[in-house]
Amino acid sequence: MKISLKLKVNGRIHRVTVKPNEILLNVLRDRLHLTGTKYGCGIGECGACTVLLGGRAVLSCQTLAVSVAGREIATIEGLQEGSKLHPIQEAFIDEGAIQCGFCTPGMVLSAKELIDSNPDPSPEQIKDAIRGNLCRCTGYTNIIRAVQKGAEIMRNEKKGGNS
Amino acid sequence: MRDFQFVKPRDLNELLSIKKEKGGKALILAGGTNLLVYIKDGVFKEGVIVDITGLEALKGIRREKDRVEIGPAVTIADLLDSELLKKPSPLFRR
Repeated sequence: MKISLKLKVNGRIHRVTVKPNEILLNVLRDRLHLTGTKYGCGIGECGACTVLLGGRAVLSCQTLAVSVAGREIATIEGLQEGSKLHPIQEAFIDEGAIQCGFCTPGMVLSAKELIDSNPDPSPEQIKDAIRGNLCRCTGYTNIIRAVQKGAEIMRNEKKGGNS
Repeated sequence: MRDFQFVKPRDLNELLSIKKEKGGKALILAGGTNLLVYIKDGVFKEGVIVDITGLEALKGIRREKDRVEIGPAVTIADLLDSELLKKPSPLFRR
């Protein structure tokens, strides 16, 4: 059985034909060539494959492509505007929150989900939000600082009215 | 035929009739953390994947007098967001 469906990724509609058991992660990476989303454990434990589904962080390795047809999907590639990185991405660079970088896309998206609903999160709230994202380099301290900084930049942009 | 099929029932009745018809071949998909890992590992090689994530009847968190009712399709994220659960059961959210 093959199913033809429309996936809405980063605002663009892609028509793909998939098998019923194809996970969203593989479709994003292998068909749409959006390789920013990482295949880590494949069993929903590491968070490297995190994407946003309707603004909520979900694990794309635990999501069937068919089951999210037509829904709003955002990957790390969709965050920047033109050549301008998203404030959270900038903050990760500035704070040295990236070591090997494998967890970074998932971390950034989990952080975005948090900040979108809580513009000024405490370190505890940040830890809570990224508890599903493992960093094998254990760079958590810098990551938490980067999320705080990203949130701060976003608050300031909002105040300035230029976001 | 070793293959998977996919259905997304629109209501509880449709879900129940699929389950009745397909029996053990009906593989219920909610969060996916069991089923999709089993499929990945080859535990299941065929079957009808029945996606219940859209079924409103299985969602919802309701407060009864001395208890809270949580629908089987409620996600952990829903639980963490629930205003209803914040007061009576802070432990639950931890």
